[in-house]
Formats: sequence, structure tokens, C-alpha cells
Amino acid sequence: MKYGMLVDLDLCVGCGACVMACKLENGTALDIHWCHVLFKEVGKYPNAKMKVMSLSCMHCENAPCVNVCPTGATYYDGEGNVLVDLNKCIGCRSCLAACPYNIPDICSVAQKDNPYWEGHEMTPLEKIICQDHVVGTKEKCDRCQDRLAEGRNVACAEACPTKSRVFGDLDDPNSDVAKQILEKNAQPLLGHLKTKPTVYYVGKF
Amino acid sequence: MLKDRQKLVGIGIVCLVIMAAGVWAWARGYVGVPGANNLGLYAPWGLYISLFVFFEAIAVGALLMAVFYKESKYRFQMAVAGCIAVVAAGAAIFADLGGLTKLWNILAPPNFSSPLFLDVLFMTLILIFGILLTVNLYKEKESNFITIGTGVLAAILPIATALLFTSLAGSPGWSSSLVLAVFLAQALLAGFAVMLILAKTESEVIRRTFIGVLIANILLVIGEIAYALYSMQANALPALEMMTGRYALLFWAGLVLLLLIPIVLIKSRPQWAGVSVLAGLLLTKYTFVLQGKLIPYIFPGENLLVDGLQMGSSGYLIAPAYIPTWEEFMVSIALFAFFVLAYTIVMEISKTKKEEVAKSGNISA
Amino acid sequence: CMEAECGLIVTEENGVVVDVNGNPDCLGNEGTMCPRGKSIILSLYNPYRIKAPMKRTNPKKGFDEDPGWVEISWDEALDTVADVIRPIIKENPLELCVSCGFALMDFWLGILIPVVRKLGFSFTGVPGAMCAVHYAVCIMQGAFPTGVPDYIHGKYVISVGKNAGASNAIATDGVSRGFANALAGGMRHISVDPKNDMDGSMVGCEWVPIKPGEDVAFLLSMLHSMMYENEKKDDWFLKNRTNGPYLVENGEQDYFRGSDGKPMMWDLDTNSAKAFDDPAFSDGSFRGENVRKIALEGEFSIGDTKVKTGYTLIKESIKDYTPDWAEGRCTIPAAKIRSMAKEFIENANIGGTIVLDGVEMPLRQSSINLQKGSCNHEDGFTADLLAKLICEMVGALDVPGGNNACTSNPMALEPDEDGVVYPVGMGAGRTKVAYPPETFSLKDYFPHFSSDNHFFFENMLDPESKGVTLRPKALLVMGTNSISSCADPQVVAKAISEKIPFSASFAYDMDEHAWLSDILLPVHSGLESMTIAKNFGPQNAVTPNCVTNVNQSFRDPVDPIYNTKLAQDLLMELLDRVGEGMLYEFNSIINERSSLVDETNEYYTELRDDLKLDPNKLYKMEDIWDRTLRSYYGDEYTIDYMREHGIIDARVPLYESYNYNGFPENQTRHTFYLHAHWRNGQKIINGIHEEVPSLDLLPYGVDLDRIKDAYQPIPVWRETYIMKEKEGFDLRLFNFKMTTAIFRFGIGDTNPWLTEWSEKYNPYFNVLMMNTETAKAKGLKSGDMVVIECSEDRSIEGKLLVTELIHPEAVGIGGAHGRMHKALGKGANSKTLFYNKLLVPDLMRMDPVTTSIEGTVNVKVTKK
Ligand SMILES: Nc1nc2c(c(=O)[nH]1)N[C@H]1C(S)=C(S)[C@@H](COP(=O)(O)OP(=O)(O)OC[C@H]3O[C@@H](n4cnc5c(=O)[nH]c(N)nc54)[C@H](O)[C@@H]3O)O[C@H]1N2
Ligand SMILES: Nc1nc2c(c(=O)[nH]1)N[C@H]1C(S)=C(S)[C@@H](COP(=O)(O)OP(=O)(O)OC[C@H]3O[C@@H](n4cnc5c(=O)[nH]c(N)nc54)[C@H](O)[C@@H]3O)O[C@H]1N2
Ligand code: SF4
Ligand code: SF4
Ligand code: SF4
Ligand code: SF4
Ligand code: SF4
Ligand SMILES: [Mo]
Repeated sequence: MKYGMLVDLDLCVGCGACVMACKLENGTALDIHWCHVLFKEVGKYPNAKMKVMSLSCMHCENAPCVNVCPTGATYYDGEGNVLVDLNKCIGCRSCLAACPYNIPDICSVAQKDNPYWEGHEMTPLEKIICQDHVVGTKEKCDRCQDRLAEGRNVACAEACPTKSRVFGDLDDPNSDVAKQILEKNAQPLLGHLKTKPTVYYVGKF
Repeated sequence: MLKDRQKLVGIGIVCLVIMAAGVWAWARGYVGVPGANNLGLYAPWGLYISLFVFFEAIAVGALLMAVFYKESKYRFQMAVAGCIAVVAAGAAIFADLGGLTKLWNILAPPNFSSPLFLDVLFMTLILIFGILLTVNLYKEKESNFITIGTGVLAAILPIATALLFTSLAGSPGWSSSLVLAVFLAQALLAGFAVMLILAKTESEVIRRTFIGVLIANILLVIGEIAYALYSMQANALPALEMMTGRYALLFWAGLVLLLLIPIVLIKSRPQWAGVSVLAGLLLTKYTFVLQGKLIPYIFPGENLLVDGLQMGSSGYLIAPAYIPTWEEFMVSIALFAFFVLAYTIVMEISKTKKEEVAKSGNISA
Repeated sequence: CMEAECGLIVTEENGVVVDVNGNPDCLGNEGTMCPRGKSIILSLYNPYRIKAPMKRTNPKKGFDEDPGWVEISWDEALDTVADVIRPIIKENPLELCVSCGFALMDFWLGILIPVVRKLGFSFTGVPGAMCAVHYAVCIMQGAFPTGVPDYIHGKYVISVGKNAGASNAIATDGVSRGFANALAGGMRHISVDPKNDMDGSMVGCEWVPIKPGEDVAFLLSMLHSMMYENEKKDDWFLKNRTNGPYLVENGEQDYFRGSDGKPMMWDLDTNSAKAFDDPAFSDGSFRGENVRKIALEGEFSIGDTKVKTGYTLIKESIKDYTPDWAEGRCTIPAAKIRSMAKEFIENANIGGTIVLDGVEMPLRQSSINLQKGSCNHEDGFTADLLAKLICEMVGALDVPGGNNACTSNPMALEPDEDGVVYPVGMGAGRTKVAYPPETFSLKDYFPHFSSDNHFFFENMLDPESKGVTLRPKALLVMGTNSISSCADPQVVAKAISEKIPFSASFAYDMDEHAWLSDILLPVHSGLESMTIAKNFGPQNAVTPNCVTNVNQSFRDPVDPIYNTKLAQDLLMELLDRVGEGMLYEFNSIINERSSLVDETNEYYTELRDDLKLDPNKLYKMEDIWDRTLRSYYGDEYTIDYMREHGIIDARVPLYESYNYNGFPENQTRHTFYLHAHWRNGQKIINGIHEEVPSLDLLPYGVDLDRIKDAYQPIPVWRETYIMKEKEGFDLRLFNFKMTTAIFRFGIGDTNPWLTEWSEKYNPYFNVLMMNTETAKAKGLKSGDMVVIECSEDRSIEGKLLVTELIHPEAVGIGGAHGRMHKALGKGANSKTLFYNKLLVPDLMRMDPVTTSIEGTVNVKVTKK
């Protein structure tokens, strides 16, 4: 069993549904996004084009963030996921500096001190979905552990209107994700860094 | 006699007050009072880590002085300063952590591939050796094992730290191959600076070697700038951005204070030369730390548009300006206060002890 | 949202809604969702909601006046409103104003429209005066609301001022997925737009920048190039399925009619004119006789009357509109226009057919599609009509692969006595000329209005000069924002606060209407509202997910967290308290025409006799829906069934969803020679002559010459107001929808998640887009705070984004942003680029047919 994902940039429209899906699933604080979308422009008017890239943790098999973590808080779960044990994380942020994809973030404010609706109490919603964040610890995509436990698809891939995010078991050659990666000859980002991401990309950004 | 007793007490109280304030300010950031700390995706490390490398340089420099500059009358002072600097450096790291209570996890089980762990390890070792050395110097006896050991560790520490930075693939701003040499050279410079400040009488030897070290540093800096200018690699962009972009003023000011002004002052005002070096060192370390992720998204390439980020002179987006919060400043000042306080106390104790010894000596004679 | 019926699954955790996911079994969204939907829970827990009925204690109305709200009981609230309404309906129901919109879509189209029509209140719909996308489809395709491209069979799709599905108003009804997959499958998409986004950037996409407001020139020259510079066209279609061959006497505009009054065509075999339905023309099959027989072009003499075909008249009318001429206006290079015309024809697959479910149909794979971007202009109606003509040239109207009406309906293309498609809705004209006018907005004289929203209110300010004798007595607002969502909000607000003595709002949050109301009747938020919706065809585009999809979906509401009501129930209670037989009327209407559809009022269900309502009894909407479902689907399909299953999965065979199949071959004809349009004009002109005692009594804005000019049967280029040079105002400002903020409903503009993410990562959000060169010339750079001033000395301020993705003579603002007051907190206030504030409507400057307000503004941009 090795979880992995395909992001097909030829289908991605940059809508941000994945971002909101992740937000809802994981109750991340304002300004913290385990999943986000980058925009850029290539070419000059009138031949200019917009490019979008949906981005989240690559769950590298040789993860710089794991290598540098002094406490072993960041670890491989053996199923292709790179997870964080908040009880071990001392918030040294080596992992932030180490990740070539600029993924991890740090939780710097408690939800109750910075609720979603500025100048108001926490809503019942955030009281529930924002519980599992600890000030001073690492923030990063955890591949929707609760969903995986229930055998459900990860939130971002499930929501994606164009199905450009595909999630599944890379070891299973019949899985949608494995098949498409093969068909579309998808490649991980920054392959030369030898981080061996389990997230593959199609299309240029 | 009484006069400087009062003076000491005065210093003591002031330092304690500042430190208390520092602890309070630190606590605010630690529990996450909104706006008390401003680190994250784009600025993983800031003022605290700058102070860590700053004090570390001082520590290394001072200890190396104490080890190798045998003629000096000030070896003891240097050793003391060195040890306290190590502690200050360590404190800076702790101040930076978000989960102190879980610190013990570093040891259980240790992750030897973690530069941070190695750093902490070396610092602990050097502290032990440093203290033993100090005691020896105090007792005015010499143990080669301790002295050499301290020397070796002191030489290794800055290199280990440099590795901590250069090994981080995610922060291209630190990837320059010269960083290791620079760290060592700056440490030496710091050592001389401390010496100049503490040494009331200045000796010709120090001055000359000091200038030598200065020149070595200058050459390295030139090397780095040249690399930034001529290497076609994206990895050199942060350095370039640092020299030309938003932080340019800090960057150049740092170099001037660190390398040029001292040359001018060394003859007339050696102590001020030392101060200038330390001030320059602080700025230089600060800009160095910020340089790491100055360009957060090098890999997606140019013309990226992220509303939170500004377009830099290099055509790449640069991280929003990192300006330390007032909490962070207070904590930093507290660290200096600690240094001063600790140093004065140790010196006092040793002085009084020596006097007593001297007295009793007389009697027995 | 109002567009897509996405199946959703809402999860509650001890009373708190904690998750919402797409329903994988829903044919429409297949479990996917858009960012608005994924963040919709925040609208349930929105602290700015109205939590209980309230009344204002401070009689002074204004955005800087504190209304002094005090909470009151439902009884007091409803009785107060009822007491105000009662006398009004007794005297003159027209003086009771009702306004409704997208935030209560199902309520509005489901029950309100018929009630309002029957009870004769003055109604104004959504601020769709900025949404004039309906005329051409109504008049030429017999359907409402719009015509859309086909992403299943299309190969060469041109969007002119329309988001194709990858950018702005993305929806998960399948449009985005269908678009992306079609492109991956080799479809080409050309986006003719002042700005570029993913619609023009994805694989197979191309961006053709156009100067805002110059679409007519481009379309005219495209048609010109097709008619004059290319041989190939779809003769079969033009001869069998359009009125192009119909004969018109020189100097006349009506058809040349035979003794039996029927329009005639020229038979080339016999060289004589015959009635269009003459047996001689019976063989309309694909390779049939008619292609040879019928004359499409030419001048002929019948006796001594000279006649020309409609096609020839159209062709002559556009003789001078060459691509080279157009280049000077729309800035698209002539060569580009020519190549587009060529590619359009080549890719159309003229003569091709496809067999769907055993039925052979024409297959045309080029289409050109317009939406509000190109229709919301003073000359928008011309653009709208021209696009259809271009499609007809290659036979790509209402056939697989072409531009199709987005409502599948077998009767859509039903022909009138002249054999040409019946105009419906806005194409047919909904009002009669009356003097003195019986409407606030003068829509008596503009029967083809898409929405009269702005003038409805503006004319209240000085009714005399507009010849309006009505005086507003009260206003009921239901889920719309006639103030901020429409042009010139300050004027509308002024009218509401100063001229309407009483207003009540079915309020969700403290929006502008709520703020200016006397009584607030709080309604459920989306998730708390039970609703029923039916797919009725491809709403944004023909895609696998929506084309055969006639799912009946149901929203099982979560428990309301405040003292609010379902809008439908609220209305019934209100009518009940008003008395005067109101409830009786209401129930009788429902008995005749209850509805299971939320997005168009074309479909109605008559309640089965044993399920009819007792006219005098007060019902709950849930009960009514239950009866309607059973009347329509049969007894097992109760509300409880819906609760359990969520959806009634219903589909139609693919061929049925193409309206062609209703009237294939030559059984009907689309308007090519714009006779139906001309006839519409005649109705108004005659109406005026009959009703209005003397022409100088005509109110300002109703200009006979302008109307005559607008309703010609041939396309004409006109210089519009924005085209006229205005010293110093060198740029043209336009607006476009954004996925995260299509509208303001469903907290589109205040949602903290959408705002926070968009502001951080979407560079095009809440900024003014300006081309790099233009900015350089003005010495401006990204991040500058700029002042955008329009030629009518209005101005707004905001942040500048310098980008390559916009026309150098244009500046653009995305999203429906900006609020008149500060009552909705940071989310709303932080968006200062209040586009609508710069729009200054004027009856003489709006589209005389659709009453669309010009969507482009002449502006100057300076550093703040
Ligand atoms: N999911 C979802 N989809 C919706 C809706 C919804 O509520 N939810 N709303 C529906 C409604 S009500 C409407 S009216 C439609 C609107 O659908 P669209 O008309 O597609 O809406 P916009 O994206 O605002 O405008 C389309 C394009 O017109 C361009 N444009 C602006 N001015 C000009 C011009 O002068 N010339 C040309 N050629 N282009 C110009 C803009 O840049 C923009 O890219 O969307 C519908 N789609
Ligand atoms: N700048 C700009 N203006 C536009 C457009 C644009 O693209 N840009 N689009 C135009 C078009 S095409 C159209 S069709 C119109 C649509 O215009 P409207 O139909 O007026 O839709 P909204 O602008 O969303 O206004 C809905 C109002 O209801 C409130 N509301 C929000 N959620 C709810 C709810 O759940 N229940 C109730 N009862 N009220 C709620 C909101 O605060 C908002 O004030 O807008 C037009 N105006
Ligand atoms: S949801 Fe899908 S299409 Fe939208 S941005 Fe994310 S990956 Fe792209
Ligand atoms: S992407 Fe970054 S955070 Fe994620 S596993 Fe790789 S290195 Fe770690
Ligand atoms: S921040 Fe936490 S997870 Fe990251 S390296 Fe430090 S201890 Fe490990
Ligand atoms: S997998 Fe889950 S946690 Fe990771 S980005 Fe997607 S939604 Fe967020
Ligand atoms: S907002 Fe519209 S498109 Fe988005 S999920 Fe809801 S219904 Fe679907
Ligand atoms: Mo609209």
C-alpha cells in the first residue's frame, strides 16, 4: 500500500475548490493552507497565457523535512504518507526551511484568538473542526487521515470539479491514479532533488 | 571600592529587569498572542536564529582566543565570555522553539541526520569543555586535552552550523559553497573583537593578526558577491536580491561595520573597532538568516503572482518584509542583558575569590 | 448557487453542521464541488445574519443612520407588514413593489412570479439589467434563458464575452469538467475577450483580445468575411431551416406575401415564387431536393414587383463592414478575423450528420457564443442577434455541436403561421404599451427588457418628468440586491429611502435592503432551507453531466439555528394575514401551476385533482411540494421519498435533449432575415401611435426614432455613447464574474475563507487589472493604490495589478464586489473596487431593446 496523487495541470482550472475542501476538512487557521493554488503569467501580450498549479505536500519518500526533523515529529507512516506527530514537534521550523516545495507552515495563533469572522466569537463550526491544531507546531497536509481511516477519498481530490486531482494506491496497478500516471507519463516536481515525491504532475506550469 | 559595588548592583538590577521583561515578551509569542510572532511559510527563521549564530560566532571566537593566544593576560576573560556566549546562543534557539515542553524528544531517539540536533550536541560538548577550560585557566593550570579539545570543537561548531543551513534544499539562499568558510572566518573576527573590547592595553600582535583576519573575511565576501553575480544558477538569486533589493541597506551597512570601519579605527580606537565588528556581525547574520527563503518559490520560476508577495528586483517574487515584533526585540535585548549580567557576576566572583586567596596567601607567608 | 443543482451531502455532529460533500450519485456534479459550495457552511454561521424579526425605531433612513433595530415577535412583524399592504392592494396593487432575485431563486421563480403576475403587483427582478443575455435565444430559438456551446460534439468553439467554464463563474454542473475534457479531447476554444484567463490559456485554447464594447464591429466583419470572402456555407440549413430564402419586396420590410398571406420562396426549377410551405418545397431531407430548388440569394421580379431574398438583404446590409474596417474599431487584426471566419467554416463539418439513439441529426461542430460580457452594451442586442446569424451560416443553431438553447424542450422550435420559430419570453414581449405608463420603469415601452431593475427605482425620484403617475407605497425585497448589484447604487438607495414610505425585507443578512427596511422578516440560510430543484438542460454548456440530466433534486434542510422562516412559508403566512382573499388567490394559482423547477418559470405542474389545495387553508411549502411531486411523478414520490433518496434520477435520451428533434428538417425555420425582430418593433411603434395621445407626451428615453432604428430587420453598426471620445478618459473599464464572488448571495463577497484565500493567492482578486505597457506609460506599478474616475465624475479606489493578460486600452475589475454600508464587516468592506458605482445609466444610453445598461465605462486611472 502506497498512497499517491496525480495532479493534471492540463485539466486544472485554478478554481480553488481543493483549497476550500482542505480548509473544511482540516479546519486550518486563516492564512494557513495545506493546499493552495499558484498563478502565473507566461508570454507577452497578446500571446500571454495564465498558468495555474494546485499545490500541496508531495509526501516525499526521501523527504528533506523528515531528515532534518530533530525530534522525529515528522515521520513516514509506511503507506506513502509523511505525517506529523504534534506531540513531538518542538516548532523548530527546520522542516519549513528544508522543504523545497515550500509546503509546511507553522501554527502561530490559536483559533480562538483569530476566529474566521474577524471581531466575532468562534462559530460552532470552528469550535469543532479547528481543534487539532497546536500553537507552535508544524502545519502540513496529512492526506486527510480521518478520511483514509474510513476508506474515503481525500477531500481535495473528491471536490475537484475537473477531476484533475486523482488520489489512490500507487502500488495497485489497477488504481485510477496508477493507471493515469502511466498513461499520461506524469512526473514528480523537482525530480532532480531526489526527494521522490508520491505526488505526480501532468502538464507544464 | 564601595562605588563600583553600587555600580555592579545597579547593572545587576537593570539586567534582571530587562530579562524579566524579555521572558514575559517571549511568553506572549510562545502562547501565540496574535501578532507576537510573525514567522511562517515565507520566513521560517528570524531574529532569534540570527542571535543564535551571532552569539555562537562570539563563543567560538572567544574560546579560540582563549585556547590559542597563550601570551594574552585575558585568556580567562575570553574563556568566560566564550562559555556565556554558548549559553546565550543556546537560549536563542530555545527562545525560537514553539514546543519547549517537548524538547526531550530530541534525545529519544536522536535523529543524527538532523543538523539542528548535531548543533545542539556540539554546543553542549563545547560548553562542557569551555567550562573546564575556564576552571583550568582560573586555577592557572593547563590540561592539553581540555585546551586542544575546546579548540577542535570550537573550530567544528561553526562548520556544523553552516551545514545546518547549507543542507536545507528548501532554502536556496543558504546554498552558497563559501558559507562554511565564512562562518569560521567571522567567528575568528568576533573573537578578536571581544579581545579588543576586553583588552584594555592593546598589543601590536593582536592588531596585526586582526587585520589579517579582516582581509581574509573581505576576500571571502568578495568571493560570495562574485559568485552571486556570475553564477547563472537560480540559487544565487537570493544573494543578489539581498544586495540590491529591500534589505540592501542592512546588508551593505553590515559589511561596512564588520569589515571597513574597523580598519579605520583599529589604530586610534581599538575598542570601538571591536564594537563595530560585533555590530556588523549582528547585521550580517540577520541578513544571512533572512536570505534563506528570501525567494520562497524559486522552483515554479519567474512571473509567478502571489498577492501576499512582492515582485523583487530579480523578477522573482520575494517574501514579505520580515520586521521583528517588539516582543522579539525585547527577548533579544534580554539575551544581551543576560550576557552582560552573567559575565559581570562571574568576573566579580573570581575577582573576590582571587583577592581572598591572595589575602590568605599573605598570611600564610 | 443559482446555476448548478449540485447534489450535496451535509454532515452534522451533535447539532453542528461540520461537513458538506458532493453526492457522488448525482449525475450533475458527480461528487465534485466548487469553492463556494465547499465554504457554504460559513453562511449558516454568518454572524451578520438577521436572527429574529426586527423593526426600525429611527425613522430616518440612510446608510449612516443607525436604524435602531429592536427585536419583535413574528406576530407583530407580520401584522405590521400585512396592515401596510392591505389598503394598497385594495386601491392599486401596482403601488406595491416586489423585488426578488438569485438569493431566493427557487422561491422567486417557483411561486413568486405567477403570484405577482396574477395579483398585479409591480415587480422588478434581479439586477439583470446587467444580465441582458436572453433576447436572441428567446426570439430565434424559442427558449429561455440562454444559448450555450456544445462540449460533447463541438470542435471549434468561440466565446465572445462569455466564460467558457474554466474561469469565472465556474460551476460543478459539469461545465468545467466538460470543458477541460473536451479540450483534452482536441476541441479548440477561442476566447474573444478583453482579458485572458484559463478560458484562453488551457491546452487548445486561444485568446483574441478585443477592445471592450466593440463586439458588434467584430461580429459584423466576421459575418462579412463568411458571406463575401468564403464560398462555403450551409445551404441545406439556410434553405430549409431559416427564413433566409423568404422574399421581401424592395423598400419593404415585411415578407412578400402571396394571396393567401403566406411568405414566399423562389423556386429555381420553375423560376417562380411559391408559398414557403408549398408541396414543391416538401423535401427538406439532408440531401433533398430543396437544396437545389430554393433560391437563397438574388433579386427576382414577380410581375413588376421586385423582390429579394432575406439572405440577400442581410448580405447587402453588411457589405461595408469589412475585417479591415473592424480592425480599426475592435483592434482584432483583419487577418485574424479572416482566419477565424475560415476556421469556423472549415471546422463546422457542414453536411455532416450524427446518429443519436438511432435518430439521424445534423452535426455541426463550430459555434460562436455570447454572454453578458458582449451583450451588456448599448448595442448588445445587435451582437446577440449577429452571433446567431453566424451560427446559422454553417447550420450550427440548435443542432448537436452547435449553439443550443439551454432548455431542452420539444416544443421550443414550434413555428408560427409564417413557418418561423415562435419568439418566447423576452423575445415575445411581455408588456403592452400603455399611457399613462403602468410601470415605474416605463417597461410599457420596452417590452423586451431583460430587467428594469435600475429605472424601476430611479424613475421614482422624479416620476413627473417620466410621465409616471404611479407612486410607490411599499416595497417587499426578497433575496435580491437592487441597490448594490445594480448600476448606480446610490440613486436606487436614495429612491428607496426617500420615496418609498415603507419597506420590508425577507432578510438573510444585514445587506443594504435590510438596512433601509422598516421591518425585517428573517429567512433561513441556504442550508436551512428545504428546496426542490430540477435540471432541465445544459445551463452553462452542453456536457455529458447535464445534457441528458433531468434529475429532480431535493435539499433536506438542517435545523434552523435562529428564529427564521422558510421564505415560501413566510409569504403564505403574510398573504393569509393580509386577507382580502389573497391566500385564496395564492392557493388557486398553485393548484394550476405549482413548480418543481428552480431556475426558469417555463415549467409548471398542475396539481392532481385529489391533491389540490383547499383555497382557504394555510399550507406549508413542504406539503405543497409533496403534492406537486406526487402529481408529477406518481404517488410513491413523496417528500419522504426525497428525504431518503435525495434525488429522483431522471434522464432523457441524448437526441431528445437537442431541440432539433422536436421539429427536424424543414419543419421549422430560424429567423435569419430579422423579421421577428422588426415585427417586435412594429408592435411598439403601433402601440405608441394607438395609446399615446401625442408624441410629445412621450416620456424621456422613449424615442420613436431610436426605436425605429433599433428594430430594423437587418444588422446595423451604431456608434454608442462609450465610443465617443472623452477628453482624458482614455481607458475602458469592464467587469467580469469570479468563481469566488459571482454574486453577493451565499455570502459571495463576505465569506472569510474565500476572501482570505483569494486575497493571498489569487492575484486577480480585488484588484484593477491594467496592461503592462499602459501602466508603464502612466508610471504605475503593481500594488499602487489608484483612483478610477469615470467621465461622469464618479470614482472608486483600489489596488492595481499590472498584467499581460489584458487589452492595453482596457482596465478590468473582477467580481460583484462593494457594499454601500459598513454593516457587513471586514469581508465586505475590504473590497473597495465597487464597479457598479461607476455605472451611470441613462434611458437614452441603454440598449433600447433589452434595456441592458452599458457595461463598459470610460475611465481615467491615476495614482492615489
Ligand atoms: N455557477 C454559476 N454560474 C453562473 C451563474 C451563477 O450564479 N453560478 N450566474 C449566471 C448568470 S446570472 C449569468 S448572467 C452568467 C454570466 O456569464 P458571463 O457573461 O460569462 O459572465 P462574466 O464572466 O461576467 O462575463 C464574461 C466575459 O465577458 C468579458 N467582457 C467584459 N466586457 C466585455 C466586452 O465589452 N466585450 C467582450 N467580448 N467581452 C467582455 C469578461 O472579461 C468576462 O470574461 O453566468 C451564469 N453562470
Ligand atoms: N459588479 C457586478 N454586478 C453584477 C454582476 C456582476 O457580475 N458584477 N452580475 C449581474 C447579474 S448577471 C445578475 S443576474 C445580478 C444578480 O444580482 P442579485 O440577484 O441581486 O444577486 P446578489 O447580488 O447575489 O444579491 C443577493 C443579496 O441577497 C443577500 N443574500 C445573501 N445570501 C442570501 C440568502 O441566503 N438569502 C437571502 N434572502 N438573501 C441572501 C446578499 O447579501 C445580497 O445582498 O447581479 C448583476 N450585478
Ligand atoms: S479543485 Fe481541481 S481544478 Fe480547481 S484548482 Fe484545485 S485542482 Fe485545480
Ligand atoms: S513536500 Fe515538503 S513537506 Fe511534504 S514531504 Fe516533501 S519535503 Fe516534506
Ligand atoms: S518544526 Fe516540528 S516537525 Fe518541523 S522539524 Fe521542527 S520539530 Fe520537526
Ligand atoms: S489530501 Fe487532504 S489534507 Fe492534503 S491537501 Fe488534500 S485535502 Fe488537504
Ligand atoms: S455553488 Fe453552485 S456550483 Fe458550487 S457547489 Fe453549490 S451549486 Fe454547485
Ligand atoms: Mo445574470
